Formats: sequence, structure tokens, C-alpha cells
Amino acid sequence: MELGVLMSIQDRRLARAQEILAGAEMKMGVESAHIRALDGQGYLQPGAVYHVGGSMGHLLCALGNVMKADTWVGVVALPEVGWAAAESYGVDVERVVVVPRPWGVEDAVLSALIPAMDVVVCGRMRLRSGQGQRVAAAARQYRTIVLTWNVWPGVSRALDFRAANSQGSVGMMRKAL
Amino acid sequence: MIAQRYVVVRVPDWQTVSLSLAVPPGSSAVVVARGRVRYASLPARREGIQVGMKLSTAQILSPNLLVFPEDAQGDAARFEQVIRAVESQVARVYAVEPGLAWALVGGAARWHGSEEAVAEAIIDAVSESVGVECHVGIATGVLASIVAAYRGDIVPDDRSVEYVSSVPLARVIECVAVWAKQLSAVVGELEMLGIRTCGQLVQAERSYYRARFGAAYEHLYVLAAGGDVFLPKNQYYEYDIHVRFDCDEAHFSADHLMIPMTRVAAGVAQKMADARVRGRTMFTVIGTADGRRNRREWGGVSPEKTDVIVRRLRWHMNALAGHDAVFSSRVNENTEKDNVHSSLGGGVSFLEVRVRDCEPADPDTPLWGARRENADVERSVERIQSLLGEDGALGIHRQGAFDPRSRIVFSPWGNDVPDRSNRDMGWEGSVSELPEIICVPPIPVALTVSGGNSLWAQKRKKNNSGNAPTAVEGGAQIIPFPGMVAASDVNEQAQIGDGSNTENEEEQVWEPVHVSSRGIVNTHSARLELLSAPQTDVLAHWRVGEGQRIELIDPVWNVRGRWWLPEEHQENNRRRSYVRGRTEDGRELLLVSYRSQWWIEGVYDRVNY
Repeated sequence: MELGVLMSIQDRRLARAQEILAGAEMKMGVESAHIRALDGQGYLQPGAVYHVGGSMGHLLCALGNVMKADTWVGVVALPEVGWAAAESYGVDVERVVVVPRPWGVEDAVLSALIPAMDVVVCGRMRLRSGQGQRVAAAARQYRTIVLTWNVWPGVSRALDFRAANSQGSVGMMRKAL
Repeated sequence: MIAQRYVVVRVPDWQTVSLSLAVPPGSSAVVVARGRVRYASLPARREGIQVGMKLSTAQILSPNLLVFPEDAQGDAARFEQVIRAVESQVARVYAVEPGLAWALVGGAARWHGSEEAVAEAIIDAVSESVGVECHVGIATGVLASIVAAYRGDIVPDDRSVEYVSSVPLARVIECVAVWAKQLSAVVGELEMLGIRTCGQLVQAERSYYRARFGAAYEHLYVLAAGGDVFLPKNQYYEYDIHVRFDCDEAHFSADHLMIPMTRVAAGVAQKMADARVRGRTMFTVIGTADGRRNRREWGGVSPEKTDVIVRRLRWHMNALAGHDAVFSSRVNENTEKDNVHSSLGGGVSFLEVRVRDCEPADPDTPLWGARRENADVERSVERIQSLLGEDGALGIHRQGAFDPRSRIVFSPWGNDVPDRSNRDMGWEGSVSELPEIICVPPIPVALTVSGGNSLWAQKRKKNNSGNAPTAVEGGAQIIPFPGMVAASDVNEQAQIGDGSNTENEEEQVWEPVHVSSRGIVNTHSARLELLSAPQTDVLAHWRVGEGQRIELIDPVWNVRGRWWLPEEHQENNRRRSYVRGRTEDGRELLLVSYRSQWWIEGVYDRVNY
């Protein structure tokens, strides 16, 4: 059977499983969360830059949401993540590359990571003029999601963590269960 | 260095030779790209036509000039004739690229009597059946045998390293063009460092350069040292991968079979990816309606190389369909259909791809193509490590441990941690509430309790007054060792604690919060004071020396460490106690008591909805 057909079948089965789980959640009164970008375009868009407002919980929740079986994540300048807890959010830590101290070569590190990774997390980094725009442009080009710890003025969008009764995120469902 | 003896057959300037094969003997022909001559046959050159010349000029020089567009598939298909000729003398010929093929020479040398005899037999066979001159090289190892084919040499078994020592590294890329992508970056940087030949590479300190350039350097080194880069491992999978597609109707053209070819290739790739293997040998089989099976053997194939599988199928199909007939049909169109139909025996009825000699797909050997996603990630990490050193990019490994910090081990990316603890062991009593933030480094704090408010002080008072001590009356319930006693009511204790504080304000004697040898904390309500500035963002607003009230929440997780060893041998694995605490502003912390000192180990930063 053709690969594309197989994948579409898997997608449908996954969507069906999510529907069943969401239904079970509603019956049990468990509210899970899903994340939407503030602009209402749906789930995290590939190639976009979002900020998590300095909250590690939000960051891990967002990572757990976007992480699939083949997702690679690069985490830059954020050495304090509790990776043991991250697993409960649905983050596969074995597919995470950590660059804890990129000081002085942030540009080079990000330009190496963005083409190769599906998600890049930027921790506490001092942005020079135009650096944020360059990162955003590279992310758009390679369709990489960039999550920033702090607000990048004019570049990053906020994440909206809303409660929802349907289509709950895998990460938060794991947490709830 | 372990290596085998190969015979490599090379037809120089194959594109030009291929052009000569495609046209009637003696006719002038050129291949044109962008209005200029790309390749010219020998008769055309004799008439003064040169490579790079404008087509209009060439047509003036030779009015009967045959002009063809570039056709890589045609070049590949015509090389099939050479492979068949070589196969008549040597078994299992691998087609590397149009113009280059190789095979193991051991069996053929025994059959023919010597390696020289094998070389002569191959040259004669190709010359007789195809009518072109080929070069044959025999040597030990991949690189030496290819270089020998360029020079037409037979290199003794023990001379291969010396033979390639003067070969420039840039030439290695040309020789093993199929691996050029992986090696070119390393070669460029080595040349900047002054290492330009294979001999210099072999003499250089291997470990240093390997640490710097990674697996690609290792493969380059193996090539330069006369080794094989794809020697089979001992571990083989017993099964073969086999995908077949039956056509509903007979087809006569590779173009009409593109969708079936793509489906077969995708099926093979999917099966290989599922089994996490790659194949050392691939067979394409094209079956015709009259029951014939035409089989072609190929070199290695990786799961992500679906395009390679499709290309090989096209190559095979074009060769079988008498691509030459199609190609030259522009000269005589009447013969086209007859030729094609006769060679395909009523049309293609099925396509089949079989992958044999499967072995585990090892991401450390990208010469055969690591998984695409991994290759990107590896390249990116190598670049970061070249900037920041090996510790610049880290991988995360999980292990079993009692506390959240020890459960995660970082190591330079690509290096495993060999002696990780088993996660499946019963880590009973381990910290079950894991913080989202682990403080790096831990923040030392003073955790104190008003002297009259400590549990022990209250117990002493009650003992002195002759009453039996009870936890509730005492104002604070003992925080138990995990699993021993039920949880306490924190709010109630907070109220009682407040009253005690007021009562004891005059004394203002602060005692450190203490964990007894049985794992019991002497208070529920304490005062927290930072002893050094926090580097954690969420605690950045706290100032050193500024105290605030904190409520300790049960349970206490006591890690006994290596208690059976003498104190001096316990190293970093000493007895320690973890407890959660909630500050006045609602922030939850994970505190650890270690050698009579309290630290903030982590911060809980959960998402509340």
C-alpha cells in the first residue's frame, strides 16, 4: 500500500482515538487543555514564533502539544528545564537537543538548529537589533516552530491556553490521567 | 584495516561513448545542452566539432550532424550492456554509476587463474560485446580499487595504502562521487588545516580529528587507509524484504510505469524503515507477459532512498525496453515499436524489488545514508559542537533515581551513558512530585523556625507538663516518612503556627529546620531566606537575606544514599530529604536538606486552567 495512504489512515485513526478520549473526558468531568494562538488560526502554525511568557509549565505544555513521534526539538539557553517532569507533558526527551550555554554564538546556533529541527525553544537570550526578524524569517522558510521564553517585540505571538472539552492535548491528558 | 579485493571496471568519458553507441557507426553526433555542444562523438570531433561550441557552428562544420538532448537515463541504460559483458566473467557485479561498476575479484581470480587473467578477460569481453574500451583496476579496499581503475593498475594486496597515499583528498570525492555530499565538507576543512593527501590524513592524529569532525572523518580515514567503508557486520537479519506490483495491463514504457515504480519503492522503503534495516544488495525484477523474468542486481539501499530505488527501476526498464532503439528511433522511426515490443515480450506484467543481506540501519554510518531526519540533526549538532565544543550540544538520557535531578543525565550529543540505572527497578520512596524547573545550580537557603514553635520544643513543653504528646494538640503534625502516616491539614497548622509565632515574637530565637534520622521534619511552618542570588527567572524578584514564610507540605521524601558505606566513601550520594514548600505568594518549591543545609532544588510551575 502506498506510504501516503498508510499515513492518512494513521491520521484518521489518531483523530478517532482523540475523539473517543475527549468523549471519555467529558463523561468523567476531566477538562484538558489545548493551545491556540491568539490570532485564532488554530493550533501552532509551522514557521511561526510564539512566546510562553516566562512560564515553564506553559512551555512544556506547548512542547507536549506539538511533539509527535518524529519531532525533533532544540532547546537553547534554557538549562533549568525539569526534563523528568517534561515527560508527563508528553515530551519525548530523547528527541531533544539541549544547547545550554550558547553565549556569544547565538546566531550561529539558531541558524544551525532551525533548518534541522521541527521546534526550537529560545530561552533567555539578548536579542540584537534585527536578530528576532532573522530568526522568524528562517523559521518561516523551514517551517520550524519557535517558542521563546520571553516576548520578542514585534516578532512573537502569545499563546492562549484555554480550557476545552474537546480535542484535548495529548500532553495535558497524560497529566490529567 | 580489513578490506576485500575488488575489480573495478571504468569506461572513461562514458557520456561520449554512450553517444557513439546510440548512433549508427561512423556518424557524427553531439549532445546539446543550452545551445552548446556538451559531448561530441569521435567522427564529429574529427570534423572539427569541439565541446562548448555553439550548435549552429557545429552544424555548419558537419551538415549531417545528429543532434540529441541530454539524457541521463539513456546513458545509464546503455551501460547495462557493459555490465552484462562484465558479468560474463565475474559474478555479482554492482553498478555504481554509469561508467563505473565493481565486483569482488576473489572467486573470479581463482576461476581464471590470476587477477591479471580476470582483467584481460573483462577487457576482452567488453570490447567484443559492446565495442568500447574499458579500464580495469584491481586492488584492496574501495578507494584503491577505484583509483587503480582510473590508472589501469593491479595493486598487490599489501600496497594499497602506499598506492593511495599521494591521492589528494579532493580526488577521493571525485572517485567516490556517490558519497561526495557527506565527505566534501570534511575535506574542505581538512585542506584548510593543511591535510591535503590520503597519506597526510593517515599520519595525522586520528583521535583528535575524529573528535572534531565525527563519523564522516572516520569514513574518510578508512578510505584513505585502504579499508572498506561498508563491510558487512556479523549480525544479519534472516528475512529479505520483498515488494511486488502486478500491472493490470501490459506497459511498454518506463514513463507509463512511474506510478507503479513509485509505489514499489515506497513499499520497500516503508518495510525497511519499519524493520530499521538497510540492504546491502537489491534486486529489481521486471516480469513480462510472456513469462520471462529479467533480473538486475544493485548495490546497497537505505530506507530513505526511495528516489534511488525508482531511478534503478527506470534504468532497468529503459535497458530492457531497448532504450537504444527508442533513442535511435529518431533516425529510423519505423523500427521503434517492433524493437520495444519484441524486447518486452508483450509488455511488463509486474515489477518486483527484493532487498537482501539486510543489516541494522546504523545512524553512525551515513555513507550509506542515515535516516534523513537524523542526518539533518546530526549535521546541525556537529556544527554547534564545532562552535562550542563537545559539551555545547547535549543529549538527554533517562535513568532510574530517587530525585528529579538524578533521573536525567546529560551527555555530549551522540554519546550514550553506559552505566545508567535501570528505570524499572523499584525506586520506592522517590520524589513523586516532579518540578518543572530544576535550579541550576541549587540555591542555598536558610530554613528556620521560631525556637518556641518547633515541634520538638512543643513536645518538650508537653512532656514537662505531664501530658501525653499528641500531634494535633502540639500545634503541628509530624510530617511522616512516606507511607507511614496520613496527610495533615495544612490550613489548620498554618493557623496554629501563626498564633505560636505571635506568642513567641518576643523570643525571636530562630532554629534551623531539622530532619531527624527517621525522616521527620520538626515543623510545618518556617521562614525561608535566600543565601545567594537566584539565577532562576521565576525567583529573580527574591532578594538575598529577605525572609518570607513558607509552609512545608507533606510527604517528606527521604533518600538514604549509600548509608552502608563510611562517610568518606559516600561522595555525593549521601542521605538527603526532599520536601515541598509553598511560599506566601503561592509559589511552590522543592526543598532539599543535604548535610544540614537547605537548598531550593526546583520550582513547580504548573499550568492551571
